[in-house]
Formats: sequence, structure tokens, C-alpha cells
Amino acid sequence: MFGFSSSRRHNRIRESFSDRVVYCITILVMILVLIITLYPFLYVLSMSLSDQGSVLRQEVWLLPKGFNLKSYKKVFSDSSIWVAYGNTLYYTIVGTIVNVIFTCMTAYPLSRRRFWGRNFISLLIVFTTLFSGGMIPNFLLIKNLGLYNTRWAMILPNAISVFNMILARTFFMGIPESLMESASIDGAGEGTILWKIVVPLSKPIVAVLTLFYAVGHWNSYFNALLYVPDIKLQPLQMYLVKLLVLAQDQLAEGDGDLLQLAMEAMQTKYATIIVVILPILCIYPFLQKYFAQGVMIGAIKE
Amino acid sequence: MKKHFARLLVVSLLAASFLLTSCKSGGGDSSSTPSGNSSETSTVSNNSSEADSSTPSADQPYDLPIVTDGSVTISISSPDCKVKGYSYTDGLPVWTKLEEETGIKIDWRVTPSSDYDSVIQTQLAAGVDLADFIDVPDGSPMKYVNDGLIVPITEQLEKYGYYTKQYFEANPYMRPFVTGPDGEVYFFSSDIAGSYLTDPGCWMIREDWLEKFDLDMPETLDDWYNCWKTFLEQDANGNGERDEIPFLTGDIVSALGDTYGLNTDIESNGWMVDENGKVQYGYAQPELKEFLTWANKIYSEGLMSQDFANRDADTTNKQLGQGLVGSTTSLVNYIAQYNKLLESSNIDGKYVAVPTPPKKDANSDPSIVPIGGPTVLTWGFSKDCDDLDTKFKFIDYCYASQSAVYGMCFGIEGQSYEIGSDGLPVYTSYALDNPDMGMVSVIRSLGGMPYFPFTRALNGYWSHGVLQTNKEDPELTQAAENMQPYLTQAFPRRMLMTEDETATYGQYMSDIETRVKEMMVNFVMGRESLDKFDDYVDGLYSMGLDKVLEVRQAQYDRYLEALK
Amino acid sequence: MANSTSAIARKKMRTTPKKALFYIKRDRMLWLLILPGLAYFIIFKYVPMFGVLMAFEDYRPSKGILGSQWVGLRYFLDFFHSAYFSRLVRNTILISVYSLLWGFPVPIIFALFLNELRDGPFKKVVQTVSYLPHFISVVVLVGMVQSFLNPYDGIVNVIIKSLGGTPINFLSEPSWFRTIYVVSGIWQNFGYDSIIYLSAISAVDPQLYEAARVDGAKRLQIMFHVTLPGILPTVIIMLILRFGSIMSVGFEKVNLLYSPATYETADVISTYVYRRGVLDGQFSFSTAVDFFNSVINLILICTVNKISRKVSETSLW
Repeated sequence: MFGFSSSRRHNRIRESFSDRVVYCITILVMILVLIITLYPFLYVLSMSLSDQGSVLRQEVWLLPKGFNLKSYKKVFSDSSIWVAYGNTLYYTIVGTIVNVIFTCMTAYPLSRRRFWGRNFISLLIVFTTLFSGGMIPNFLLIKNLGLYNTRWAMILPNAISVFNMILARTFFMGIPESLMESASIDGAGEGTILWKIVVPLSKPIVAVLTLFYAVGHWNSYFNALLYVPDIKLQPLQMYLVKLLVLAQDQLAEGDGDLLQLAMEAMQTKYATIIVVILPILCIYPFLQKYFAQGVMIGAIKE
Repeated sequence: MKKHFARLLVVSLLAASFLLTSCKSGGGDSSSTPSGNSSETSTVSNNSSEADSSTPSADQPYDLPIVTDGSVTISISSPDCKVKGYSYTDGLPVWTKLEEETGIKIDWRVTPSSDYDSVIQTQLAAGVDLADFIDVPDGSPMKYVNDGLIVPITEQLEKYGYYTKQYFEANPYMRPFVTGPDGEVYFFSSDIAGSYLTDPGCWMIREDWLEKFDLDMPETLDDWYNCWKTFLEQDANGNGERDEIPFLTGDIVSALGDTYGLNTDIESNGWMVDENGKVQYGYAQPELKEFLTWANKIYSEGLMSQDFANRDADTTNKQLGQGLVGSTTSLVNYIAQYNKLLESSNIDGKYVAVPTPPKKDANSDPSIVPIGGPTVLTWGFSKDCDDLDTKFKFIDYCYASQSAVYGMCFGIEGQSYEIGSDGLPVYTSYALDNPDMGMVSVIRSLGGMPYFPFTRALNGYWSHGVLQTNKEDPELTQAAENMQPYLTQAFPRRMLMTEDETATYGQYMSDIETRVKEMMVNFVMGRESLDKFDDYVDGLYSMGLDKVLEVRQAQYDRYLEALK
Repeated sequence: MANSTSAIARKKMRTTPKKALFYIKRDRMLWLLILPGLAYFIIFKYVPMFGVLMAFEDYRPSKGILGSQWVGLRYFLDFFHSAYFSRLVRNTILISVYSLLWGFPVPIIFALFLNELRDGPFKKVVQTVSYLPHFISVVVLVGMVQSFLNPYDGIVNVIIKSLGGTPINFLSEPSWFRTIYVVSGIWQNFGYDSIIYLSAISAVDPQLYEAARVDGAKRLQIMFHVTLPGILPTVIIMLILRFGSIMSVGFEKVNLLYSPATYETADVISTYVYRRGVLDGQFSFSTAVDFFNSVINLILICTVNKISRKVSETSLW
């Protein structure tokens, strides 16, 4: 409603010829982008649905030839996939909440110009992106903190991403200091300023942080590998990697009908994509409407 | 380049492991089949009655169950079961049975096989809270010994290794490979020496194409060349296109380099011993230049896979299934696989094993067929293992007792195998004709063919698993027998090195191998002129090849010493 | 306004300990807020940083990081003396630079054009589809690349053949490797990377657009004179950050994509370390190489930051 695009729609009647040409080109480019991004997915999908002979004879280019769901079912037949799903949901939700809270709590003071030492602390934080001690000290740390083989090992070691912290800090710095100063002249303490002024304005940054962190958790795999050996605690990605590797291994070993194995390896490949992408696809439109509020922030700015 | 070929070989129906590096098996005469030995194994225990009862000795079996009160749990670090939906942590039948027999419980600490090495290396480097029994990364097991992470087990072996000692006696080639340079025994390892007898590497060709053009079975490299040329130029698959792949290979130097006596096969990987007993590197021998000249001709005339440098299993199977491939190299059992692939793709064709390995020319000997192993993968007891004696007994039992060996190779009696009329185990149709998965996966789903040391040896009941391979198929049996006279033990690459040797080896060899792999591709593809061959060899020496040769020489000398 | 405030802040920075204590006390609420974050960075980032010592010692698990024998620069020299050192550094930097050169502008351009679309289902679809590839694992991505580029029947070569060309063995040609790496990387990430720019665009002041439109500016003019300057600070910060990872070309994708045939252009530092370390856990060596990379990255990011501060008045610090 408040987006500038709607106000632009208002002005559409005045669009010049050249503008319309540009708009058409834009649409064409976007259609091209759509094709380039979608084609590989369509190709793999068609390959995985087609009957085996057509795949082998390379007859599939766009749409499936024949129909075959047999080994597709296999991928979803195992009940442990739901345990893995549950774990990933847990890590994504709890992890993202922890991330967003920690990130904002760190970023906000660093955005306040009156905060003594903020430059020094910011530099200290940025520095950690450049140097790390490597896997062994991290592993020892996780063990010593008692996080090994607990759900927290999936959440705490990546509580704050420096990039996202900078993002949040930049956002908070965009909130006019004058707003806060006038509030504090009116006798409001820091707590009141934070709660009454900053938090209500923070939806866009929280939306962006949520998306970035949630996607990170959704795709994360390495921490589970090193820190969470218990299968009951492992996330979906771990489960899918196992599936993928097993299918490829069996194919390489040739244990069973090679054709069958090749099909299964391919279908597993495809199924993993679907399983991973679908849920996260649902998050985005939900967050998208908060991105649009970036405009409203802009409006308040002056 | 070798990625694909290695993978094919690696996971033969017998080798339940992911990295099959190699070495020659010591004692056994490779050309004798192990079948005659089955009777002697049952008599081994007869000569052990004089043991002094006050000091424990491995001449007497320990009581079963080893522990009666269920107080002992052994933790084992290993990759997880390779069948989808099955995990060792779920208590697979073979292991449940072993747990019942011994009274010892297992705490499996498993990781997906693809990532096992990076996980266990981190844990070992951190050095805390290790599992009792660990699948150690293969590269440098002695490093972990020197770090004090893996403990010696010579004493336990002498005192409690009742079954393992019998197995070592029946298969004397094995012990040197689990003994460190200091003479102490540190490791357990899977034995794959037997697999090469019934399932060796071979060269296979489309029989129907040979008949179509009235060609004889190729023997010399010239014969092979003529076959390939005919396949390609006379449109062997008859589709009017020049799309045949006469020789499908991921690495021609490894597939055919042995015809020039270069030991460049996957098992020796270039390491060879000359007539003076000196270790040489096949990839730096002058004969290689001549071979590469030939290989370059094969490549540039389109007679071999044009994408050999980056092949994957998907493409290989696709091309085989499309009926494009005239010949290739693989393990014998793959002949059946590939024929099935042709059949299910409705292609009227058949692969057969060529009865003699290729030879350089009419006057040369046929190429050797390498025997790798005998060991594959390495397991050791960690410093964090308490009650080592009891746990050693458990591993001893699981490694070499007949009950355990049958479990590992055949799964569960009455389900996946039964004892046949000749007293030997045979797979049931549950294992062989399972609609859900292949035979190996069936056994693995029961807990067999595990990521745990087990034996497919040359002699005794430890070799029974081997006997089953290809038994059903007379053609494959014949093909394997044809290769017997040419089976030759590969360089003992898997003799344990000292830590210094490993360090030297690692420091120089990674650069050398990079150079070798790269230059082989460049020479074969003709990107680099063979006039540069001498520069290439000089380059290897300037990268420290002589230092690596010293390491290999020391390793080989120790091997000879151990055989005495 | 912002400038004057930060000038005051800077003046305040030069403080006596007594005054510092005063500020801390005054802003105790802010300090309370930042404490968990600070604790996080100290515990999870700075404590393990002692691990870099391993680069200078012959690390032994039994002796620990503090007790292992000091070997100074041995592992660094090992690395520098490798026959391939210069090639590895060159390949690493070139892959990074090409990824930056081609990959960096794409999400920005995409975001700018996407912003031109009217709100509606088409825009939503394009946007959502564009970041689908981000969720494909590297293994699957490389599998797709291999099947599309297969010299026998990959679709790219089928097209080349049908146009009368000779098929190209893409994955065996050193000259193609960087292109394949960079293009597949752009395909996988441009949509997802554009999110940050899209949200930056939506924070541009709408009044600026109104004003431009009143002045009769055309679409493209608005894009170049309003939108782009509006998101420029974001662009610059993103660019500076990218320079902090020039030496860190990831191992996984290259390892799956390369072969000895393409080592010439494809072998990078991380794959080399992997091949060397695979023999045994050579943690000291790989830590040394990581440390070397970090130092180069640090130098690069500082330099770029400085240049940016002078040229554009936007900088990371």
C-alpha cells in the first residue's frame, strides 16, 4: 500500500514511449532469467520422472517421456527423514531466534554514537572473520563447554554472523539519533528508547536477519558432522547427504541392476533438491511483505 | 583421472571398503586356489593342549561369553553402514549376535562414510575422549602411534589373540602389514588378498562386435588397436554415426601401462622393483615415453574415451547402456553387470573377458594382473580404552572366529546363507535375488561386510567369503581362472612407514603426483610434446623423487625382512 | 547532521580512564545489551584463535597447542617452496577476481531491473525462482554441470553439434575451467545475493523518486541517478567485504569440478592443501597455509577499505 511502486503505478499514464520500451526489455530479460534458472530444474525433474529407456537413449530434453515413480517412493519411505526434518525445524526456529536476538543486542549499542568504545569493539568483531584457529581448537572448545552431542552445538557456535551484525548495525544507525535525543530530553531512559522507539522500527531488519539466518541453518551441515554424532539429533541436510552418497556409492559399486541404480542415484539427487527447497520457499513470501516496509522507514527518515 | 577407475575397482563385490590401496600379499602362492584349504582349518585347535594354565596364553580359547554381567561396553569409531535406512546404531543382526555371544555391548560412534576421515582426523588431533577401537585414517597410521593415541597390542595378541593368531599362522602374509617398523603389532586390518583370486581385474570386449567383423581375440597391443579401429570406422553399432567408444577408460596409463612393465596399475601405482632389487618409479622410466607415444595415437584417433580425464560412474553406465563401448577394463564380476545393462537396454550384445592380458608385441610377456592389498583400512585401540584385555578378546573374536567370519561375509545363517552339502556356506535366494537391493547390500543391511576388520584371506575358513564370488556364473569363473597365471603381487605399498618416512613421503610426493597426473593427461592428449619427456622426468627428480625412492626402498627392505 | 554527531563522538573517544568509567556507567544499559555478544565473540572466536600457534609448531595432540615443539616458519617455507606455489596463488586469485568481476555486478543489476517490474505475481515468481539454485548442494550442482557439458551428449555440445560445430570437451580444457566455475557460481547465487540489494533499494527515500519523476526523468535515468546512488554504500561495503575473502576459494566445488587435465588453471590453494593433508592429518601445515591466506586477506581488505574511504567516503571502518 505504501510502497513507492504503488505510487509509480499512479503515474503510469505519463509513461513515455522509451519507458515502455525499457519496461518491455526488462520483462524479456526477466523471462530469460526465469528460463535459465528453471530449465536445469525442469530437466532434472523430467529425467527423474521419465521411464528408464528414454533417459538412457537421451530422449528427454524438456518434458518427461513416459512416467515412472517407482524409486521416488523409496526416497520418502524411510521414517527417519521426518526425525531429521523435525531437527532441522528445531534448529532453524530456535537457532534463528537466538541469532536475531544476539545480533540485535550486539548491533544496537554499536550503532549508538554516544557508546564509548564502539569503533574498537566493531573492529574486534570484524577481525574475527579474517582469522580463525581452525577445526581442532573449535572442537576442543565445544567439548570443554559440554556442548558436544547436544542441540546447542548446532546453535551457539554460530550465534552471530559478523556480516549480519554489520547489516543490523547499519540499519540501526539509519534511525535518526534526533528521535532518541528528543526522547531522552523528555526523560526516557535507554530501556524506554530501545523498547518504544527502536524495536517498533526494526521489523525490516528482523525480517532480513531471519531470512539469512534461517537459510543458513537450513543449509548447515558441517557442525552436525563434527559436533553431533547422535543420529537422533542430526538435521535434514545430514540425512540427505547420506542418501546421496549411498546412492552414488551403490552405483559405483554396481551392487544390483546398474540401470536401476543409476536411475535411483539420479532420482535421489532430484528428491533431495525438492525436499530441501519446498519448505524454505514457503518462508520467503511471508517475509517479503516486511522487506517492502523498508520504504516506510525511508519515509520517516527525514 | 584415476578417480573413476579407482572407484570401480574399490568397491568390488568383495571389498567392503572405500579405499582400496594396495600391496602384494606375501606368503601364499597366488596361483593356487584357496578351496583346498578348507579342511585344515578345523584341525588348528588340536595342537594347543600344552598351555600353562597359570599364565594366560592364546593357545587356549577364552570362555564365552567373555563377560557375563554385561558390564563391558566397547565404543567403536567407524563409518556407518552403507545401506540406506540401516545404521549400526540400530543393532544389526550380525552384531546383535556377536554381542550375545561375547556378552560385550557395542557403542557405535558412526559418521557417514564420505566424511568419516575429516571427522576422525579432527577427533584424533584433538586427542580427547576417543572411542576404544578406531578406524584410523589410512595415510599415516604410525603418526597416531607416535602421538600416543594408538597403543600397541602385541602383548594382548600373544595372551588373548586365540583366533587371530590362528589366522595369522594360516595366512602368514598378513602379520607384517599390521606390525609397525619397531616390531610391535598395532593394528587390525581387513584382508582382501583372497578377492583377487576369484575376482581379478580383466580386459573385456564386445564378443558380438568381434564376430561381426570376423576378428580374433586381441592379444598384442597391435591386435587391440586393429579391433578398436575396426569398431570405430566400420560402425560397429550400425547406427550410421561414428559414435563408438572403442576403449572406455578413465586412465589408459593405468589400464595398459603394465604391458610395458611399468607397474602403473592401480595397485602398485607406479612402484616397482628392478632386477637388482632396487625400487623404481614406473612413471619415471624411459619405457613410459614409448607407451605414451602409443597412447597418444589411440587418443588422437578417437579410439578411447575422449573425456577420460574427468569421467564419472553415471557417464560410464550411460555409455555402456547405449551400446557405444567396445571394450573396457574392470573386475571380472562387472562383465555380468555390464551384460545385464545391455540386456535391459534392449541391446543385442555381449561382453566377454579376453582370455589373455594384452602384451606389448608378439615377443613380450602378457601384462601382469595385479594382486592388491592384502590389507585395506586400519583399526587400532586408542589410549582412552580401559580394560584393553577384555576388549581385545572381543575384537579377536569378531575378527577371526569362524562364527564371526561367516557373519561378516554371509550375514545370518538360515536367512542370507546356509551351509551347503560340501560344508561350505552358500548364499540363499534371500541374498541373491532380493527384489529390494543387490546381494552386497543385503549382507550389509544385516550387519555383514562392515566397516570393521574382516577377512577374505587366501587360506582357511577366513577365505570362505571369497569362494562365493562369481561361483554362480561359469563364464565368470572361467574368466577369473584365465587370469590366474598372470596374477602378480603388487608393490607392498601398505607396509607401515615410520613417521619420518611418512613426513618425507607426504612432503615430496604430493607435488610429484600432481605433476605425474597432469603430465600423463597432457602427453596422452597431445597437449605436451613427448620431446619434453626427459624434462618431465628431470622435473620429478628435482621435486625430490630420489628422497621418496629412499623411503620406498626402506619400506620394501623391511617387507623382505618381515617375510623371512 | 550525522557527520557532526560522529565528530563529537570521535572527540569523546579521547578520554581519560575516569571519563571512560563515566561513559560506561552512563551507558550501562547499552553495555548490558552488548555483553552477551561480546562474550560470544571472546569465547567462540578469540579463545580458539590460539590455534593459529599450530602453524608455527609441530603440533602433537598428546602435548597440546601450548606444549608442542616450536618449529617457527617451517611449514610456511614448505608451502612457499612447493613447485606449485606461484601457480596455486595465481589460480586462487584469478578465480576470485573473475568471480568478483563477473559475479559481483550481476545481483545488483538483477535487483535494479527486478525493482522496475510492477508488483504482482510475475515479479514474485521471478524473485522466488531466482534464488532456488541457492539451495542446491554443491555435489548436485557439479553433477548437473557435468551432465550438461558432457562432450558426447551434454545439451551444450548437442547444440554446438547441431549448429555444425565440433563438440568441446569443456571439463578437460584448462581454458574453460574458470568460466565454468564462475558462471555456475553466478547461476547459483545471483538471486539470493540480490536480496540484500533489493532491501537496500526499498530503503531509498520515495520522495527522491517523486522529485525525479516530477522533473520528467526516464526510467533508466531514475535507475542510474536515484536508485543506484541510493544503494551505493551497500554496494561498496559488500565489495570491501568480498576482498576479505579473495584467498579463500572454497575447496569443495573445485575438488568436484577439476581433474588433472585442468590443474593448470583449476588447482587452488585449498585443493592443494587437501591433497597434501589427505595422507595424514597435517594440521600444522594447513593451519600455516590458512594463516598465510588470512594475512593476505587482511592486507587486501585494509587496502581496499582505505582506498574506498578516500574515493567514496564509504568504508567498513
